[in-house]
Amino acid sequence: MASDETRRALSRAFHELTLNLIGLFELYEADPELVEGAAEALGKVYRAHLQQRPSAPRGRGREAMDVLLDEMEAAGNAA
Amino acid sequence: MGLQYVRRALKTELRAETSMKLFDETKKRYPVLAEHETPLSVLAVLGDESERRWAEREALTRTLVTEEQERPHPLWAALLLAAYYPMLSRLRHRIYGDDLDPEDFDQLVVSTFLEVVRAFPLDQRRDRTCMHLRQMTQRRVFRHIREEHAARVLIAPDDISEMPPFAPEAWPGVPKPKRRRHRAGADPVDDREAVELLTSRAACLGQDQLDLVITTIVRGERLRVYVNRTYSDRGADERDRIYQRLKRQRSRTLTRLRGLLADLRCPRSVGGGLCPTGPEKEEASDGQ
Repeated sequence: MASDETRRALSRAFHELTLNLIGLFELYEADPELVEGAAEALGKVYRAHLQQRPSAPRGRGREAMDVLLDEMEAAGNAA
Repeated sequence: MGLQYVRRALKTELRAETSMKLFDETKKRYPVLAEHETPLSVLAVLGDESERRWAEREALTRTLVTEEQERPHPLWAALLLAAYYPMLSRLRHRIYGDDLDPEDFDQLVVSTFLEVVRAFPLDQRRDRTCMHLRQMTQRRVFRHIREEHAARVLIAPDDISEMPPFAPEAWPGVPKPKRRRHRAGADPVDDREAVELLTSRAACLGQDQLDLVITTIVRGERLRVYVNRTYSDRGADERDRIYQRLKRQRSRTLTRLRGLLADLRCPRSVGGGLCPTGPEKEEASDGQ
């Protein structure tokens, strides 16, 4: 089990990575399926490392990364 | 600089090592930037229009505007342009008319936005920066278009092809010139050669533009006659608008054609003309 400090560092890293990917997908006008697939994969890794449960239904298309970011921010506020 | 260029420019900027160094340096001066490891996450926040991120978006926008005013760099301009791309694109699509080219409209929107950013009164406008940027850009763009339209209406030069033919015989003592055969009756083989030349050398101009040039320049049909013939089902006002639009399109096409066919220009002859005279041609062939 990771310490609180490690969890916070991991949360920040996932949050920053998600923001970067949102910017990148926006810039390159990424295909919605790619965005959805990336959000699903990133969400799985995030939840597995931080023992989180999905707090909201999975986002669809271009919204998927934003939904994941909301989930991370909600978990960060709750912690 | 078109709107699509904005994204390409930012992609280039984000790959540049100097931009990353600049971003890291600038982060030290602004806490709001320090939260972001790369400009990409700044872009993500700026692109999030939800109310939850309003304050962060406002702070980031003011930071980028400050930097662009005090230490201008393509990275800040590109970031702002990319972040405001949806707004600029919506504004661009609200504009229509014949006064400017579509590409000119794009360029107008982009350059006006950057002008507004560089002159934005940060001291006077302390909040709702995003809204003010949008409103000021819109006002300037529409003012520019109104001015452009007014200038065109005032000038409205007549097309030389629509002027009545020059009649020198009307002057006493001037011999009646030989009647020129109308270009519409030119040898079809000549037409075909010209058409083939244009089609092969200037295909990039688009078939519609080429057809217009071929019909009105190569075959000599007057533009007004062409419009009346082609758009006979339209009202007189609409035909007039079409005529004005096609006239401008044809001018632009001819300008581009000159560039595409520049290598075919004849050398200036001794007599001052553009092509060699008969004796010059003979001399040239004798010398070979």
